[in-house]
Amino acid sequence: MTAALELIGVTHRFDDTVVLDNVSFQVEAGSITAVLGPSGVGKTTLLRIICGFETPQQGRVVISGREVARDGDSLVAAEHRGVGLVPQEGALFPHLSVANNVSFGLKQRRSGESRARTNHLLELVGLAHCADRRPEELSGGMQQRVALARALAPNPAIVLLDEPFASLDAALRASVRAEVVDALRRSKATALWVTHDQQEALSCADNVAVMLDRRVVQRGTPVDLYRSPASRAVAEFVGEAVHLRGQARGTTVSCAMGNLQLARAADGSVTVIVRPEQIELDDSPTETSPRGRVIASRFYGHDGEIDVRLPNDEVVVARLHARLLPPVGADVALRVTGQALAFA
Amino acid sequence: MTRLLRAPVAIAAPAMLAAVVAIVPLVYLFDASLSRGVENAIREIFLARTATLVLRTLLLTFIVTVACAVVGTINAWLVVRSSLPLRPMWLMLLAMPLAIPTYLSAFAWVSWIPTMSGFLGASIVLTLASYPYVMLPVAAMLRGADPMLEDVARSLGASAPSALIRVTLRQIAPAIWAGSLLVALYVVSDFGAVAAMRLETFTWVIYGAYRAGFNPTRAATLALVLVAMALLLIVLERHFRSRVTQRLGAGTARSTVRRTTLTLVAPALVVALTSIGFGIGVPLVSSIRWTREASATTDWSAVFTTIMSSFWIGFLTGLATLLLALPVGILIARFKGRLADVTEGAVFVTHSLPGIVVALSVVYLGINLVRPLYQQVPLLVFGQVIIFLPLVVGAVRTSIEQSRLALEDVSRSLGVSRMATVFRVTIPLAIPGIAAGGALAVLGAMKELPTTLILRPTEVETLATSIWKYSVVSDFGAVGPYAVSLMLLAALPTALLSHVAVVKVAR
Repeated sequence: MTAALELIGVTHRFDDTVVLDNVSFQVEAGSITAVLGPSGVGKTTLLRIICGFETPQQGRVVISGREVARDGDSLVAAEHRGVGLVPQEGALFPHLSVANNVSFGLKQRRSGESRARTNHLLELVGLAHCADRRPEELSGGMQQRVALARALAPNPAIVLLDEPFASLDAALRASVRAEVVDALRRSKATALWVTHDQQEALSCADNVAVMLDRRVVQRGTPVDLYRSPASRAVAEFVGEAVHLRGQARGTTVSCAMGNLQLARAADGSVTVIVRPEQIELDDSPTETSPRGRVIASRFYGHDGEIDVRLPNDEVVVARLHARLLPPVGADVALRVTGQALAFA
Repeated sequence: MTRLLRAPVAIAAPAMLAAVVAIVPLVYLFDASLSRGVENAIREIFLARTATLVLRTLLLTFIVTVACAVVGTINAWLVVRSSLPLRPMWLMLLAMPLAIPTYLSAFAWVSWIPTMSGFLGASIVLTLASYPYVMLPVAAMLRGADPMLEDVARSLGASAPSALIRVTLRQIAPAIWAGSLLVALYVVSDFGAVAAMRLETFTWVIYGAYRAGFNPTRAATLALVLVAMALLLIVLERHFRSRVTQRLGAGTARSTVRRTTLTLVAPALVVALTSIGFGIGVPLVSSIRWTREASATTDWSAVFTTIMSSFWIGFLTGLATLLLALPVGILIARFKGRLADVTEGAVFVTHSLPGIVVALSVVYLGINLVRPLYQQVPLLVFGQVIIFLPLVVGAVRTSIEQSRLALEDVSRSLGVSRMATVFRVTIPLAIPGIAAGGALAVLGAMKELPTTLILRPTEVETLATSIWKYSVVSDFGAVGPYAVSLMLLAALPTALLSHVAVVKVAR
């Protein structure tokens, strides 16, 4: 199977500032890939390069096996690339009705075929009843779904979504996100999704490319990224991390939380990283169980977190079921489940 | 973020044409001014009477500008921040002086109080005609300014008037400056009021030099001095305009707090009623009175012919200006680069050219290059296009810049070419600005006096030239029907313009 999109060694500068440094990854046809990175890391520039609004100084962009940009030359104009774009806040055409927004990119817009395609897509995103409405009459979430229908209408090789839910209320975001993913899956579209929200990337995408400091530092499935991050920076960006000093020897490491199993062998002085949910209260402690005093407790409703100060003054965070939260000041025994990570 | 888009030829070519058109008058001014040598031109500039002329023009400009800043700001506050009922109607009425040419107001005043003629009369007429240039931008900025700041000042112990001055006035200062400089520009450029009031300022003397045996060097040299003054004003205006910020972002608009305090509203209302009463009332009442006095002798078919030629010349000017301004506006707003910069610069410089200066240089152009077109309608329209191009480009450009760039990106990613995107997205979204720009040009062309006087075909009379022709010989009975017709015709585009402003401001 050919990749729907391939970036090979893409490097881009604005004046003398490097915004993308040797970025390479590919998106398999029919998959959803997320590009996850903090704000200002060059994600939007990346999308503009794929769309054809910017041309990278170095590297190649290949869409469905066709080279569209290479080393400073744009080989295919934006309008001929077959790339659907869902920008931030949707950017619906305010002068057109919902249906005319969706049919904007179709050839022969007044033909029966176009009308059928428009209806089909509006049904796909669950907005068939809104065809004649004006964009400003729709809620933010509905506007995003129309924007997706519009991008899908000309049957693009790939759909690019640029922080599509950043402007929505937290309460609305989860449901709109689920609807959009569902629509993408049912239309069997290929999508590249740019976000700074790790939860969004991990829960929606088949594959995630993590961008830090202008480059892609790791690619993999959400589970891979979370369980075996390639670097300390990735471990810290994808999920929460508890840091401890330790001495590693092969696949074991000794630290303030005792002797832990390592996912990858290491040797010498290391920083040990475990996830807060790996740390539990030990209800049948032994002599060697690590102990500490609870110095802070945060109640979230369904669960909660405690900060525990260990005898050597290191502080660990444990995520617990809400009814297990001990009070501040309590002395507790802890244990670690699963494997830890170690970085030099 | 840089845009790599190069402008399509269909936009770049007419935009370049517009730049050339815009810069033609200056080239001819320099040519005519220096035709008898540089020394002659310099001697002309340093004549004692030139210095008197400069001082008188500057004094008039200063007085009118300060008066407009005060009146315009007070009126803007009244329509945006007071609890006055029917605020949109007040705004519309207060903007109406834009529909009335300064020469018409001036003649109305002189026929009412003959001793008004001169400096005092010119100051009053120009103030009443120009305060909307301050009022409209200030009203827009007041609308966008955060009213909470005033409440905060009150809670910190400031009285209502003191909070208004210490907080709100500071916020809107850039808009007051920008509007005032625009007023100054229009005062130094004005021909109608000073001509009717027989006040020797630059424009009136330039016209005299042109009439009296056609002394091209003196007229052109004085015109260059005038352009230098205007250019300084417009550079300053642009500096302040860049500091006029509009409220950005999608967030819910705060509702404006309306003041009912009588100590604030009552004096403002007096100012507004005076502006409307004298600004519209005097010319309107005079014109109606003249018309009724002379109703028996009025040749209505001549009036009708004149209305039609005014309308046609206005329509042609509006259309031609829009056709040139649209590509320029799109180029400047959307295809930034060297070509856009050069075009913007050319149009920008043109904005400083007073009507009388443009008219003179088009005369030189006509005589030297296109003799057969001299005193023909195409050359008249050409001259008026140069005058109104900057205004229309401004309107078009602003409304294009207000629509999101992302919309055009989306269009292209959906397979629509750059040129098709211009027609399917850029232009439809800019329709309000395009309509406003067209209205500005039509309104201006119908009111425009010096260009029409100098460039019209000898057998064609417009409303403006007819009012002028009968007024200078004090035959006000004959002026009446033309004056009423011009005000009625001009009210239409003015209403459209203030509707755009009302939608923006009084929402």
